[in-house]
Amino acid sequence: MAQKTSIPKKFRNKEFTFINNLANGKEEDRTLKLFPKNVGFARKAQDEEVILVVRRHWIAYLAHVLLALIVLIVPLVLLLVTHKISDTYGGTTLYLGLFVVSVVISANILVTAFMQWYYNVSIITDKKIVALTVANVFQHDYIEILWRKVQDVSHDSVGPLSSMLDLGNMYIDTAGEGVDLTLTFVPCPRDVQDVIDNLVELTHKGKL
Amino acid sequence: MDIEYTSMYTDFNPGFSFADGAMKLFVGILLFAIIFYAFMLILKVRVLRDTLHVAKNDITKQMIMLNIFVSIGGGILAFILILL
Repeated sequence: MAQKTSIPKKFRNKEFTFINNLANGKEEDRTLKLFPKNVGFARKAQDEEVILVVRRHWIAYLAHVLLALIVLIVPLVLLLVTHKISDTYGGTTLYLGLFVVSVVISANILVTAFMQWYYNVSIITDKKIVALTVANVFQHDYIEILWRKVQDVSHDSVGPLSSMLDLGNMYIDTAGEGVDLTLTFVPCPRDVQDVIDNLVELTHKGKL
Repeated sequence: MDIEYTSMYTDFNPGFSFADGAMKLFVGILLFAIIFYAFMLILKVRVLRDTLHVAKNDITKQMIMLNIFVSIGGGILAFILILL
């Protein structure tokens, strides 16, 4: 019942239906943690409460891990292929050097993947959703959408990985053309949509 | 006494081949790019830490610092092994 006591006062109202849906079961079994501590962002208001932090699933970065492994293997493959062809390209020192280079490249790929996993987050508060997307080391996007501007929330689940790991993409739409925010590889997309729908509904009714 | 120029210049080896030089140049540029990238990672994480903090103990700073040490150390080692 640790989760129940950590629910802030203003959310103990029965109209917050998502709390009952998400707070059932053991805390360690839950994928989504409600009301996380020590979360802040640049434009957070004083009375603003963070409800949920959603990260992309780690499987989204599997390609980075595979790439890092391939880069590590390349010098060994080169050594096997060329060591009998030429004296220059068969030098052990050269391949040792190339192996060191590949280790450094792999380390950078893995650290980049970790940085992306760590900072590609969506923060759901009682006032808005904040989405930080780190595309690469030279580009990141920071998007804020107030609940009162949200018109439509949907999600889809495509592919075998989505079925196996319960992942999906979420689409949050405001007035105007096109989808304004797309969140990919979201774990338990139904539950996240449930939270957002509830918050949007209460905001539109003027109760939040 | 006659000087045997033919035999002198047949054995002469300047120690440079185009393929070897091109590869060393490529590796040199690659090492520079890796270290530059590692520095850019530090700057990006600094900006992101100002934008958002999602935990009390920020592990990213430690990882980025470790990465820059590995990149510089590995770069110097690779430079010695390949280019010198």
